[in-house]
Amino acid sequence: MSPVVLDIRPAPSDAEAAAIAMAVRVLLESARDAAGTDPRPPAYRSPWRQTAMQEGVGRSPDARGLR
Amino acid sequence: MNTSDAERYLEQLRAEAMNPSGDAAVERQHARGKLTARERLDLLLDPGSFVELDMFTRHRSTGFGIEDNRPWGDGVITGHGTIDGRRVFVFSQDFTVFGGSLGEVFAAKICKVMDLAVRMGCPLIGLNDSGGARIQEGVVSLGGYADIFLRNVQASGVIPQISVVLGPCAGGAVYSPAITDFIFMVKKTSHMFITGPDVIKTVTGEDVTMEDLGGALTHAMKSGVCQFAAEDEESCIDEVRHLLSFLPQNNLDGAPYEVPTDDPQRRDAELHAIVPDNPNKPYDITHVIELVFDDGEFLEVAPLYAPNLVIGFARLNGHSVGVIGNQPKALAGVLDINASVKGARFIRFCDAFNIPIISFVDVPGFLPGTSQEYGGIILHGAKLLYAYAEATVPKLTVITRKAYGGAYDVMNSKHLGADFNAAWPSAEIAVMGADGAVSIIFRSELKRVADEGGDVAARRAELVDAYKERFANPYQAAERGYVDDVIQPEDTRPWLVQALEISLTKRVDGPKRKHGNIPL
Repeated sequence: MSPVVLDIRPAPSDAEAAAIAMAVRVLLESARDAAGTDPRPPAYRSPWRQTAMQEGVGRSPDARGLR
Repeated sequence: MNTSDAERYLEQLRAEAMNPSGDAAVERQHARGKLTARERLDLLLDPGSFVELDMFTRHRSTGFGIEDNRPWGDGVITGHGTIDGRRVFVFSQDFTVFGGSLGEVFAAKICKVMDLAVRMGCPLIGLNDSGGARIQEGVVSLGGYADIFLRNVQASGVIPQISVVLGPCAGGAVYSPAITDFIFMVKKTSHMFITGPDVIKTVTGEDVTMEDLGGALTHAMKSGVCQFAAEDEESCIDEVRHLLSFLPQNNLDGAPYEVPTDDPQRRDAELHAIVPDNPNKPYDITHVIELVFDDGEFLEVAPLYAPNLVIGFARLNGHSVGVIGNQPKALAGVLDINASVKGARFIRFCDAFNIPIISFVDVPGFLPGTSQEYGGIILHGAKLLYAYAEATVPKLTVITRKAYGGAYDVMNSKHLGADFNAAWPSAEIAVMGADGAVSIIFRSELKRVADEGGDVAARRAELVDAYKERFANPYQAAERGYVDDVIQPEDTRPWLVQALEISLTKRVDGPKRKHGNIPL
């Protein structure tokens, strides 16, 4: 990821600039992780598939009684 | 004690706990051809990932002098770490401490990591090297075993459980590994049995060695108790890591996906020549599997037990899948008791952990004979049928050659709920083979020809040819939609890839029930 460059006016202190830069970087990285870098096919993120797995467990008595 | 003294004391305790039985005991362990409990964990887990729990536990027992010997850790190392970056919980029994014997505290440590593994949804791997119950602790030790068994059962189908037997595992102790999903053993140093050679000699008069009774090869070939028999501990633990790469973390996790490097449209011309023209000539189904799946990678499970049915894990366009195939080069691929049980257990594992199942069918039927009938082939064969029918994961089938009789139904037929089925042009989907069918259908006609002094062999050959033309092909089944398509062998990989990727969002919600009643 390319470095984040900030132009903020009035100019923040060094500590404030560092904090803002960190917050923006975290935001951008989390957005990238959520959308762009999951290598799995879309089916893996399908709510239909997730529901199928939940239903698969729900019909099994073995899922009960866990400690 | 001031702060620096306290810190020094902690380091001293840690050093003692890291080597509770001394260098001589470690040397004895090495002299037996075995690694120590910590060396095994170092091999199993990613470097630096192990986090130990309960290092400072000690037993509280008294009597028989045991109160004078209270080593830190009580003979089992527990904690968690990562394998290829994925979290697992582990315990590693330390044979150098009380012979790895299990007492109250020892069992409680194992139970704690089992509970954590279920709570966090992570696989559990147990490294077993134990002389059995700690006799000085009496019934408390037996209670400890039962506490573990209960957790094994409750975790079954929730998280993958793997047992690695790296020394003795005898008596009641065997039941914990037996409940887990996979058992690994090492030739010559691992032994599992309910009663040892001395007791057997006393009770039945039989002479048997430890290795013949409960060694890795015995359980890999004869009993089917263990699925993997390794040459040494290093390769054994490496195989455990390999197996983990195919498994999800828990039953709400999808099967692992690895970005593929193999072309999903790859058509291997070699598949054309694999099935011999002579239907009675064998070929190796594992070769077909290697040609179809990603990069020829196939981790065969239990290769030495019931080799007439091949099971194992592979990847198809990056998706982890369970593969089952009749093996024509062993017993002509017939289904018998052992193969049925082997296949059924594998299918249920895959289904529990959301791993799609792909079946390759070349099955002449169930093995006839009194030993099979008296042994309950009816019930055991039904297990395989039940497991296939019950499974709700994506189920795909490729019929390469014979699919005869009841075995056709059992081997993931459309009728049992398979999602997509294909057949090669060489497929013969029929009630039975041509020779047997002609003998039954045309018994009267063949008798008449014989009575009239005609050429019975020539007439039989004509009838066999006619039967083959009509029934020994995939098109009767295709006409009825029992197979979705007849495909060229080299198209198998692209066909399976598209069928699998369509099926990834499969959703089946059957009627609610407490549990089914699989014919155990």
